[in-house]
Order: sequence, then structure tokens, then C-alpha cells
Amino acid sequence: MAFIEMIDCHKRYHMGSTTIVANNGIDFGIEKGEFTVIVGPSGAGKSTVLNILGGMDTCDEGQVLVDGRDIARLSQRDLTTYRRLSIGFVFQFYNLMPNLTTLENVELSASIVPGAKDPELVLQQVGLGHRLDNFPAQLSGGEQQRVAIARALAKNPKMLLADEPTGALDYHTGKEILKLLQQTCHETGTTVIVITHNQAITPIADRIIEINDAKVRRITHNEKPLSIDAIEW
Amino acid sequence: MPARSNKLRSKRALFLDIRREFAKSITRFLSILIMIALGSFIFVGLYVTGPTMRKTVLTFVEKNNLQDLIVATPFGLESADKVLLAALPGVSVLDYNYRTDVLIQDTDRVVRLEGLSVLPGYELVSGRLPDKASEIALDAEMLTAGFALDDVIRFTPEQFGDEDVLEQFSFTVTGFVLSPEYLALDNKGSASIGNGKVHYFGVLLQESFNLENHSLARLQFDDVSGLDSYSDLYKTRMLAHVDELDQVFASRPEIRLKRYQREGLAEIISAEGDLTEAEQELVDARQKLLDARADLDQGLLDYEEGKTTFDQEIRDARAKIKDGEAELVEAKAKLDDGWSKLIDGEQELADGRKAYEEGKDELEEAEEQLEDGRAQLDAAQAEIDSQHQALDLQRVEVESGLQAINDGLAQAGLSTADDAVDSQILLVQGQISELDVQILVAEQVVQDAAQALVAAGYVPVSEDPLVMDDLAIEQAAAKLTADKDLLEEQLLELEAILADELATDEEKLAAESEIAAVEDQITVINSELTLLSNYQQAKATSAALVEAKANLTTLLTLLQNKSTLLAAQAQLDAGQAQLDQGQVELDAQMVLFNANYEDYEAGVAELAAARKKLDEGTAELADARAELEEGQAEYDQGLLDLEEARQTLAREQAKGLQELEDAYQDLLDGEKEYEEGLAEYNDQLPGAREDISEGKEEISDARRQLARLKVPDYTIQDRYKDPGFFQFIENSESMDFLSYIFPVFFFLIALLVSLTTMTRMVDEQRLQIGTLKALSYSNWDIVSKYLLYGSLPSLIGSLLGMVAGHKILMPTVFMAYSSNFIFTEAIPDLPVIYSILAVLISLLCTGLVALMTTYTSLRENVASLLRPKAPKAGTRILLERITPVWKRLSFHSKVTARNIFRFKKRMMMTILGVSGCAALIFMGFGIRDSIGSIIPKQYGDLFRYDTLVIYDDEADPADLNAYQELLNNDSRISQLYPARIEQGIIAVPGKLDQDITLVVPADAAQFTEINVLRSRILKQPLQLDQGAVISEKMALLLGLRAGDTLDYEDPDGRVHPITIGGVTENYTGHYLYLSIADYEDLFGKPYRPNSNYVVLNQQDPDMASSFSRTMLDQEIVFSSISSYSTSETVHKLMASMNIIVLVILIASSLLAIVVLYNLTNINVSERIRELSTIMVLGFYPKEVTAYVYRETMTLTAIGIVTGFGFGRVLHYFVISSMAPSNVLLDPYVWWSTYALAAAFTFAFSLVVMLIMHNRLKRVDMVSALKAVE
Repeated sequence: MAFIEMIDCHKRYHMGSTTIVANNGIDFGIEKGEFTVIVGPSGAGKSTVLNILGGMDTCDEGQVLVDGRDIARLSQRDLTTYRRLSIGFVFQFYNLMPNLTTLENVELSASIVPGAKDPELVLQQVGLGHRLDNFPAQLSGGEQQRVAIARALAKNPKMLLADEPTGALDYHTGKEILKLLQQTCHETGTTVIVITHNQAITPIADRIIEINDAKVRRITHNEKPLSIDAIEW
Repeated sequence: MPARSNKLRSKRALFLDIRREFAKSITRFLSILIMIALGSFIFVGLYVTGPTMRKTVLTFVEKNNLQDLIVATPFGLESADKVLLAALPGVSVLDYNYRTDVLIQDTDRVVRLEGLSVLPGYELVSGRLPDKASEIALDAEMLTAGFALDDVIRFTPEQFGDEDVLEQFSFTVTGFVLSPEYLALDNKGSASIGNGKVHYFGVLLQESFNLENHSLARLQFDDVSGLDSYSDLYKTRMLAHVDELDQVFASRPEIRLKRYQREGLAEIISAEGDLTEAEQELVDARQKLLDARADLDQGLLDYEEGKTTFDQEIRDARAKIKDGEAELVEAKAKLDDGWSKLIDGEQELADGRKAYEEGKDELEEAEEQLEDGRAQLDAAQAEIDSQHQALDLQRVEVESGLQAINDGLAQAGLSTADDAVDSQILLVQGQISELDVQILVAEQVVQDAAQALVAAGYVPVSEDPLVMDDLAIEQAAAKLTADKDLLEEQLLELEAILADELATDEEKLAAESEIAAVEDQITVINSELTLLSNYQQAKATSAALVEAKANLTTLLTLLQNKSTLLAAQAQLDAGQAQLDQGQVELDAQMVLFNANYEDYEAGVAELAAARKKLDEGTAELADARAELEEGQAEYDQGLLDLEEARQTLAREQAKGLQELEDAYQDLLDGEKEYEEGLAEYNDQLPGAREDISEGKEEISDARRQLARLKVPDYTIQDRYKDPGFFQFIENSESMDFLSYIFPVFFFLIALLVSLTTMTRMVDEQRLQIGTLKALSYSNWDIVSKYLLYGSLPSLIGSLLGMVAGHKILMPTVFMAYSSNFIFTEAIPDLPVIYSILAVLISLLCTGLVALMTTYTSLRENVASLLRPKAPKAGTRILLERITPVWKRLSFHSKVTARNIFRFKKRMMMTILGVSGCAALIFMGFGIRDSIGSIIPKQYGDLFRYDTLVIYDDEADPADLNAYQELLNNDSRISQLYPARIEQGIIAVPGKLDQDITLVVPADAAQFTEINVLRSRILKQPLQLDQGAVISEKMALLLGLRAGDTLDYEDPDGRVHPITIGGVTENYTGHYLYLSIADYEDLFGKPYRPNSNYVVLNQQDPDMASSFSRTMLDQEIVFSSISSYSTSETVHKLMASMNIIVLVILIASSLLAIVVLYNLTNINVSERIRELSTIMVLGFYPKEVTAYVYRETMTLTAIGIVTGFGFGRVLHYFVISSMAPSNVLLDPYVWWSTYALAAAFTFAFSLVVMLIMHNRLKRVDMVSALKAVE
């Protein structure tokens, strides 16, 4: 059994009288320590998949098994605990606490998890050892995203979920962030799932799940993922 | 017009947008609405309460004719007073009336009875006003004390002098009324009976009073009629009237006192006279007893005599009755005889009457026949007579005719014999015929002569020559004669000529010829004259013949008539014979008739005689019958009389016997009475002697009383001295003061927070504004959206608040203030200015702010608007520089600290809002403290005595001694503190004159144990030997401190400047404490105590009340006031104040909740992204809430602390303005108030936190994170 398994997952949003079907029987599995890219055009339902996997949303039908545990039926509180202990998030717009320094931002995250990593160490790992006392406003976009990754990693999560992590970044910075994520995956063995609409970056992933029109269209297992430096877009 | 429709469509879109905005942010909308509503609720509600209270009381007193001024004196107004009053100028109504205080029987409730008159009016609550002397209308408050309509209320008889004050002391209740003179329920005046307080009032007809003098006069003045009693003009004018009355009555008390003393003396003298009389009466009574004994003995003798007389009288009466019976039997026999005779007579009479009737009928028939016969006879006689008469007439006629004819015949020379007639007729007829022939011849002659004449031309031609004109013929003849004469003259002349010698021949010749001619002419004329005479002759002959014929014809007629008459004469003779025969026959019939008539008349006479006899018989019988009936009646009456006589006898006998018995009983009673009288006399003799000696004592009492007779004082009070009216007006003014401070502050907070909310909202809408602008909506369109959004809640809110303020807050506060008054309903006076202000300010603070903020945003270019406002960058805070502290803070504390200082504006707003609410709550509890502390402080800490007794120090020394004795022996008293108390007045600028109590303790050191004199804050004891001490409120009112001078006005109107040595803590009333030395110095008279401060053995109200009653029973005691009853009054004031405190608390609490909610809401919505982030990071809801609330709680704590500061200031202002002029509210607040204010505020903060917590749980973190913002 795979580490993460989504079985026949359905999600519908009700907007007034119309019903939008975001996920219409999603099925896939991800092995532990894999670097997975979920790819698809805007509105295909990939964010919904991420939200469900991240414990921010629930699915209407189907099962979501994470490490053998079905999170599709958890209560809000259990979901929060799940997020707290198992998930690290990286957002498109970083979502750092503007009033906290780099270090404090990571500490904030670390403070809620038992067995968290040393925030300072994590920051050094992501290459921000020299920016500990800076406020987010004083950092560049790439640096901010690194802080966000450090914040997620400090919690020592079972998986790292990144939703368009390069969406707000320029090409080079974006590449560096992806590189960081890939490195993290390979070096720490953390399962990393990246959501993107950019097909160009799929070659670097171990597993590529293509979603379109609320369904999984193709799952590709990449035996030989490319280095990030090898690809261009 | 596509452009236009586009525009319309875009407008519609905008409105849709606005509606969505409302729907989306309904809580924000509502919270602004609620805050504004609360603000204007308090603002408008409190501002209109003062005016409403005034309007209510003024309307009530005007409607019920409260007098402008009242003049009263306990001794009543004398005629001298009335003269003075009547002479006052400008008085429109002068109304005298009675008033007296009585106790409800078997209770200590004092009812003040008023007479019904012009002033004042009474408002009926139920029933009607009295209209009989036995009726009463009672104070409506008594309804709650269990009195009802038609009850009978009894009063303990009360006297003034020797007379009952009322004609009767029990009355039927006809109604329950309110009076403008008794507005305050617990302050109806003080009485000299009961426990010294008037509880109720009652209204009687004036005739129910039995007072010699009117008790008071109520006055209205012309120059204030129609003025608003609250106006300065009214107050000024009334002040002048009061001054004038004060002057007018200034000398009256002294004058009256002198006279009372004189009168009192006279009374004593007359009382002494009475005593002498009483002694005389005793002697008289003894004499009366002796007389009575003699009377009794005489009575017994009289009785015996009376009894004898009575027996004799009865015997006589019985004999008389027997005689009467015998007489009646005799009369009865006579009557029966008479009756049988009468019946026979009547039978006879009836027969006679029948015969008479028959005869009468016969006679009447005969009479009728006779009358017929007589008529026939009379008719026949009349016929005969008339015929006879006619015959006679004819005979006379015939004979006279014959006579006339015979005369004519005789004249004609004819025989008058009757038998010659026929021959004569024949002869005459022959002669007539002869004449006819002769006439014809004569007429022929005439005709010829006439023709000759005509031919001669003397007469004109005539048809009938026989009727020629004789005149013409005469004239012709005359002319012819004249012509002949003339011619003869000429002849003569001519002959003369001839005869004349002188005449010439020729002449003679001519004359001769002429004579010839003339002679010819004369011849002609002569012939003509002959012709004429021939005619005349012939004519005469003819005429004579005609005449003869006429005579003969007449004769013939006569003869013919004679013949006719002779025939008539013969006929007449025959008629005469016939008549004569008829007359003979008639006469014979007449004789027969006369004989019959005589018979008839005889019958008539006979009948008349019979009639007369019958009538006589009838009359006789009637008389006889009448007589008999009379006799019968007499007899019957006699029977009745006899019966009555018998009964009368029986009755009289019984009555007489009874009378005799009664008389005897009377005698026995008299005997008994005499015995009793004697016993009583013997019994009462010692008592009466005692009474007399008591009377003597009373006289000496009266002498003593006279000696301590009090000066009759006159009370002159206008409306502002009327306790009820004044107190209510004063309440309304403190309400005004309260509304100057509290609602403004309240409103400010509400506005401040609304303002922040609006600013925040516009900030949130930057992107929207940018988008709209990019869509090229006009600035005005965009602005109008936010203007509308900002204005609507404040418009609705302020209107709601305004209405609720008018309808809920104002009545609530009004009722709180009126709880001690008779008013049950406010008459609203709602100046619209406050409502307008509330609405305008609200609109300014939301609508205008929205407008300005939006305009500021719009000034930026579209691009920058579309870019999200960069989240506020984090900065290091000052605290971080203080490394030791910073290091010690926990991670979360650091975060909180930095967040707090990150949004400085919001921090300030939160602190301000929270501190405002905390301050309001603090103030609410503080007011309660201040009011609540009055009683324990004034009557616990300061005044430690139980009762204050004031007595007449000028009373008779004996009475004073007795009073002292009583005090010394009263086991209830623990300790006595003598002092002198006087009432004075202090003028306070801008306020009404304040009454002040001057206290001069006999032993200052002891006195201060039960009446503590100390400074309020430092609690330092004050000494009287360092100068006068005044109570704090007075010092506050006048702004005085130790060393300043106070102008004290004594009751006689003299002003004494007094230097203040200290200000003592005191909460109710004004006091001035002096040492004996200062007192004597200032007033220039020796010190005499006139009161006792009493500490009782047991501190309880019942004991104090019963002690007061004992004291008031003493004549020389003016008043005895228990501290408990005073504190009870203050307690009631507090109870009503508590309602206002409650209102303040509720409103402040609501405001606090809304303010906190709003501020937190702003905080949360501003940081929703951050919060979503930590939620995604896996913060539990509690942790999320705590993340925000750590800040809020910190700010709340700061707000509360600063709120204490604000609250104290606010509280100080409010209590100093709210307190009545004679009450000091202690600004000290208990620690519990701090605790409560903090607890309340925190509690509200927690409530808001709970609301927020629930809201945060439902936040959609995903979309919050997604939103670019």
C-alpha cells in the first residue's frame, strides 16, 4: 500500500443553485519519500486535491489514506491536529507573519510541534542563516519563500505540500525554490507534493499526476527524474 | 439612448453592489447602528428628561391652581391680618381657608385636613369631592393604605383652645384626590401631634371646620398670572411679593402675643369666677334635694284626692247613660206611629192626583173647541163689518154725486127732480143739435171776414181763418187807427194852411190838393177799419155759439151721470138689506158661544182649586216625612251616642285608673330618685369639692402657660418654598446637570468607534474603489456608495435611539425621580433640538467620515488603488531595546507586544473605547457607592445620636424642670447632650436660599462624640474653639474655606458675618457649629440650651419612634426627630437613584460590548490572512483566538486602568451635579467598584471573545489565503 492513497474521491462545491464538481472520482497513490508533481490547467481540481490532502478540506465521497489512516472522515479538531503534526505548507504568496522576523516566523511554527527542528538550523539549511532578524518586508520574494519552506520544515512534517510555490517568483528564483524542494525531498526523505500548472517542470518529479476536468488523466512514474538545472521553460 | 441606458445599468450594478455590501457585512452595519442608537438613546433620553419633569410638575400645578403664595399661622388669621392682606396691591385671588391636623383614630397617622375652596384645585383619582359636612375626600396615597370609597374614617377628637377643631370627627369617604400642595409623598409637612410628621391630607367642606379664625390665606398675583413658574421673571416678581409680605407681617407676631397675654389674663379671671359659681352650685344642689322631699309628700296627698274624685265621676256617668236609654225607647214608639200615618196620606194623595189629571185633560179638550168657535165667529163679524163699511162709503159717494149734479141742474135752471131726468136729457140733446147749425153759419161769416182781411193784407194768410192771430189783428187795427190819426193831423195842418192868410195861393192850392189826398186816405182807412171790426164781430159771434154748445154738453153729461147714480142708489139699498139680515144671524150665534164659554171657565176654576188642594196635600206629606226622618236620624244618633258614651266611659275609666297608677308609680319613682339624688349628692360631694380645688390648680396652670405664650409666627411661602414643588424642580435641574456630562461622554465613545469602523471599512474597500474607478464610474457614484453605507446605519440608529430615548429612557428616569412624588405619568416636553443634534452628529461621524475617507482614497491613482496596500511591515518596538525585559518575555508575549505596537491607531482606539466603557460602568457603580454611603456615613459615622428633641427654652421654669425630670427618669435614655439649635438662612448666589441649622453644643468636647466634626479626607477632628465650623456642602456651594466669612441670616432677618474656622464632613443638610463664646459674641445674648441630642439604650427604630411620641406629648417640646426617620427619607432618594444607576449600567454595558466587538472585529478582519496562515499551520482554534485575544486582553486591561481615571473624573462631576443643594455625595468609591468595573469590562471582553472565537472557527482559511487582497 502506498504511503498516500486517494481512492475515488469526490468533491462538490455548492454555489447557490449551481454545483461545481471539483473532484470527480480522483484515484492515485504516492509512495513515501517521493517528489510528486500534480499538474493540470487552472480549475482542473488540483488545488482541491491539495486542500484535501493537507487537511484543510474534506471530500464528500471516497477515502484519503495517509500512512494508513483515513483522513477523509476526521473531525475539524483532528484535521487541525493532522495539519499540525503531519503537514508542512508552502504557499504561492508565502504568507509569512509580517510582524515577525525570519527566525520568529519559523519559531512560531516550531513552537506548536513536539520534536520540532531547531528553527535557526533549518534556516541555515535553506540558506538564510544571515537573515534571521530581518522582517519579511525586508526580504526578497525568493528569500521569503525560503522562510516559508523553513517554516514548514521546522515542524518535521510527514509531507510537504507546495501550492504553486514558484507562482509569484521570477524564473531563476523559482528554479532555486524547486531545487530546494527537490533537495529537501531527497535529502530528508520527506514526501513532497508540488502543485503546478507548468508542465515543464514535471521531468524533475518521481511521480507525475495529471489532473484535468476533475479527474486524474494520467499517472506517470519517472524512474529517472532530471535535475532541476537540466530543465528549462 | 444607449449611453443613458448603459449608465442606468451601471447605476443598477452599483446599487446591487451596495446591497451586497450590506448583506456581506451585516454585523458591522448592525454594530454601527447599535452604537449610534445607544449613543443617541442616552443623549436624547437624558436631555429631554429635565424639561419633561418640569413640564409635568408645572402643568400639574397650573392645572390644579397651586397658589403663588401662602400665608399661614398656627393661631389663625385675625381680622387685622385680613385687613393687611386685603390691602396688598396686585392680588388677583385672595382665598382664606381652614387647615388642621388630626390623628386617625387608634393610630399615629397624622392627616392634615384642608377646606375646600377656590385654591388649590384637587385632581380626582376616584369618587368625587365632598359636598356635605359629613363627607371627606382623602389623599390618593391612602388608597394604598387600605382605605376605600364609602368607608367611614374616624379621627381622634382634637381641640384648639377649648373647642373641637371640627364639627364632627367621623366622615364618609367620597373620593381620593391629588393636591398640588402635596406633590411629595413622604414630605407633606411636619405636625405637632403624632410622631411629628404629616402622613396624609384630607379635604373637607369649610363648614366642617369649627375654627374661629381662618388658618391660612392663599394668594395669586396679577403680575405673574400666565407666566411660566420656572421663568426668571416669575421668580423675580414673586421674590418682590414675598419681601413685601414679610414686611407687612413683620410686626404682627409681637402685637398678637401681647393681646393673647391680655386675653389669657381675662380668661383666668373669668375661670376664677366660674369656680365660685361651682361652689354656689353645691349649696344649690342641697337645697334642691330638700325641695324635692317636700314635693313628694305633697304628691301623695294629691293622689288620694284625685282617686276619690275619679270614682264619683264614673258613677255619675253611668246614671246619665241609663236616662238616655229610656228616652230612646219612647222616641222609637212615636216614630213608628208617624210612619203608618204618613203612608195612608200618601195613598190618598195619589188617588186625588189621578182624578185631577183626568179633569185637566177634559178641560183642555173643551178649551180647544171653544177657541175654534170663537175664531169662526170673529171672522164672520169682521166680514159683515167690512161689507157694511163699504156700503156706507158707496152711499156717501152716490149721494154727494147726486147733490153736485142737482146743484149743477139747479144752476142750469132745470128741475132737480129725479124723475125729470130722462126728459131733460132729450131736450138738451135737441138744443145742442140746433146750436151746431148756428155755429156752422157763424164760422162761415168769420171765414169770409178773414178772407177779406187777408185780402186786405192786414193779416197773414192762415189756414184756419177762425184762428187768426188776434194780436196781429189788434196791431193792424191799432196801426190803422194811428195812421188815421196822423192823417187827420195832416188834414188839420193843411186846413190851417188854408186858413192862414199869410199862405200863398200856391200853398193853398197845394194844401187843397193834399187835403183831398188825405181825405181819400182817411176814407180808405175807414173802410179797412170796418173790415176789421166785421171780422171781430163775426169771430165773437162764433165764439159765443161754441160756448153755448159747451155749456149744453156739460149739462147733458150731468144729466147722464145723475141717471147712473140713481141706479146705483137703488143697488145700495138692496145690499144694505142683505147685510142687516146677516148681522141678525150672527148675533144669535154669538149668544150661544158666550154661554158655552162661561161653562168652560167655571171648569177651569174648579180644576185650579183641585190642583191647589193637591199641592197642599203633597207639601204637608213631605213635611211630615221630613219630620219623621229627622226624628229617625235623631233616634239613630241617640243610639250611637249612647254606645259611644258607654265606650268613653270604659276608656276614661281605664285611663283614669292607669293615670292613677302612673301617678302612684311616679310617686314611687320620685321617691327612688330622691333617694338616689341624695345618695349621689352625698357621693359626689367630696368629688365636687376636689374638682373645685383642681379647677383652682388649673387656673394657676393657665397662669403659667400664659407666662410662656409663644410668639405666633407667620409662614409666608411661595411655590419655591413649597417642599414638593421645589424638590421636584430641583430634581429636574440635577437631571439637566447629569445630561450635560454623562450622555455627551457616552455619545462620544459611540461616535469614536463608529468613526474608526467607517475608516476601516473604506480602507478594506480599496480594491473595490479602484476597480469601480477603473470601470470609469464617476467619483460621486463611488463616494455615494460609501456615503450611503455610512449614513444609513447612523440615520436608522440615531432615529431608533431617539425614539427609544423618548419612549423608554425618559419615562424610566422620570419614574425613578418621581417615585417619591404623586406623578405617575410624564407629560413629555421633548425639545426637538436634541434629536436633531443626535442625528446630525451621527451622520457627520459616519457619513461624512465615509465620504472624506473615500475621497482621500480616490485621490490616489487607479493603479496604486488596485495594488493591495502593503501589509504593515513589522518593526522593532522600543521594548526590544530593553533587552533584559524582552529576553524574559515568552515567545507569545513578544509577538503580542509587537502586534500591539504595530497598529498604534487601533491600539489607541481600543484603549479609548474600553476605558470609556469602563469609566461609564465605574461611574454607575460609583454613583451607587456615593449615594449608598450617605446613610452609613451620615447616620453611622457622623451623627451617632438616636433622637433630637427641641423644646421651648422660654417656657415656664416649672415646665422646664418637669421636662428635665422626665428626661432624667426615662430609662430608655442612655445619654443626653444639651445644645442650642436655631434655624437660619444662607443666601447662595444663583440658587435658592439654603436653610442652615445653627448648633451650639453645651459641651463641645462631649458633643463631638455623637456629632463628629472632622475633615472628610484626612479625618482630622475639628475644634469649635478655633472658630465656626460649617458643613462641607455649604462650603462647596459658596466656595468657602477656613478663614473666609459666611453671612448668616437669623430668623429675625438680621445678617451676621461669621468667620469660618473649619469645614466638617457632612452629607445631608447644612450645619453651622459655634462655641458658646462665639455664639454669645455674635448674637449678643446669653446662651441657653433648647435641645437635647439623645442616645438611647437600644438602637432600633421602634424604640426611637415610641420615645419621640413620649417627647411630643410634652407641651414644651417642639419637635422630636428620630435619626431613623430622617435616614429613611434619604434611603428613598437612593432607591430612586439606583434605577438611574441601573439604566446607566445597562446602557454602558451594551455600549461596551458593541465597542469591543467592533474593535475586535476590525482587528480580526485586518489580520484575517495572518490568522488563516496560523490556522493552516495547525493552530487549534483556541490558540488562534488567543493569538488575537492576547492583544485585546492586554489592551482591555490598559483600557480598564485608564477607565478608572476617566471614571473617577466623570463620577465626580456627575455626583456633584446630581446632588440636591443640601446633599453632598461623597466622591469616595469603594474598592468593590473598581473590581466590579474591571470585572464587567473583562466579562464583556470575554463575551466578545466567545463571539469571535466562534466566528474564527468558521473562517474559510483556504480562500483567505488565496485572496490576493
